[in-house]
Amino acid sequence: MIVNKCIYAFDECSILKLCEIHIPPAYQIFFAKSILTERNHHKIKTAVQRLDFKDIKKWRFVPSENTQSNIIKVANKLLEGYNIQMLPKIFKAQIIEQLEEFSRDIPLTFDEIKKNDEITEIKEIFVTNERVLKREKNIPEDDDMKIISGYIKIGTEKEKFLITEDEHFWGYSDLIAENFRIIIIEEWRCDKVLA
Amino acid sequence: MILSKDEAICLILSLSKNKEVSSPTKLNKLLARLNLFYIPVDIDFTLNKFGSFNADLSELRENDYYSTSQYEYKEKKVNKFILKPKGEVLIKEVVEQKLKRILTEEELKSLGENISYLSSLTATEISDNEHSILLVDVDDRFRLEQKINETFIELKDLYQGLNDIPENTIVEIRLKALIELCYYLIKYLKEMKFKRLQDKEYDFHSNMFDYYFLENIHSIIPFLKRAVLNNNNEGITINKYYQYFINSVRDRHPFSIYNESLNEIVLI
Repeated sequence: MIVNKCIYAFDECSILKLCEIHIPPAYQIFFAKSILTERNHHKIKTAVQRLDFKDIKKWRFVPSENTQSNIIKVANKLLEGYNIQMLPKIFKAQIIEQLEEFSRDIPLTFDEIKKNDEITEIKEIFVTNERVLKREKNIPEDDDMKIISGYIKIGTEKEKFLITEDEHFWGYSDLIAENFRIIIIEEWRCDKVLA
Repeated sequence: MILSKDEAICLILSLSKNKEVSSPTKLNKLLARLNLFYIPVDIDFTLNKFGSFNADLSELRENDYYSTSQYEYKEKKVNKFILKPKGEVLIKEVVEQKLKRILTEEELKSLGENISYLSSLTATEISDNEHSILLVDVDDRFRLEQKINETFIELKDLYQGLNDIPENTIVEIRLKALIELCYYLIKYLKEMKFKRLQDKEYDFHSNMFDYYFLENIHSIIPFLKRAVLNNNNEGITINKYYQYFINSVRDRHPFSIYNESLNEIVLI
């Protein structure tokens, strides 16, 4: 349930998945549609629309140093399951260009939380409580910890939520909630949670 | 990335001497020249029976961005075009932002110098030079054929090495797309558009972009070879070439991702 007193932040990949890719006419025969979206697109869009409807701010983390790799990651996800036989490299480049264009406009619709470089204590907690993750390296990246550190720093008593598909967060969700008071919402559940 | 007709006209006017161009014919030629700078513009360029070409400026009227002013030249009334303050704003706020994504600072400077110089020539002088570069004239057919064969062989080698380029960065992905595009475009020109070049009188129905594409792809091959070895510092230039070949024709040439029947002419 969406509560006015809470803060809702999204990781960059989840925001990029809001992008609706316009399939160039030449490629539409491979899709039988003109718009291509990532599989969680609808859920994230629904959650965002609900926040907008209630006039609740949406937040993201800056600086976003991994924009390039995030764009490539989302482009690869968009292409999963499709076999484009004609000029496939061009199609991928077209997807990337639209994601780049979309990412330029993100600052207009999301407020910013500054990442914080002080991560020593946070890292210690993860290292002490290391878990075996399925898809990612066991310990979260430094950048993930900078997100947590920045989120802690915004110094509010409000409840804080982070919508993400990154296993580095949801794989440690109980630990993060307990130690940093940040509630992780798995991206694929965000429309249910933010109802 | 593509410049609209108004954006392209403002760009030419802003770079021309006194921010004006003395006739529609000259404006035609200068706009067409943007193709040799790899700047995609949303204007149709066609061949005519004299082997010359024209931008479609028939409907051009004064607007918020430029004005027209009539004067007499050799007993004929001619319109000249002059940039307005709103046109200068359009350049600053839109055109420059677009160009920064495809041109380095040096290239921007060079574009300015070139257009400024060309604007001091007559329309005929601008056109003559471009004809010889593009091999548009009937007498150049043999050289045109040689050029397309040579370009195709070079691209075949580059295309065969495509899988050796990783896809870790956007520049690498765009470089691979650029090579793929150049290879199949030249293959299409060689095996379909210019296949019977020697048999025909002259293909007046040829799209002007057949010539621009061949000349431009031919001239970037050394760059592509270098970029395959080290593309780290070439992001803007790779983007320039990619944007040009993808966007300069859109729905005005069959070899375009905006053509829903493209699959019928991509020769695999």
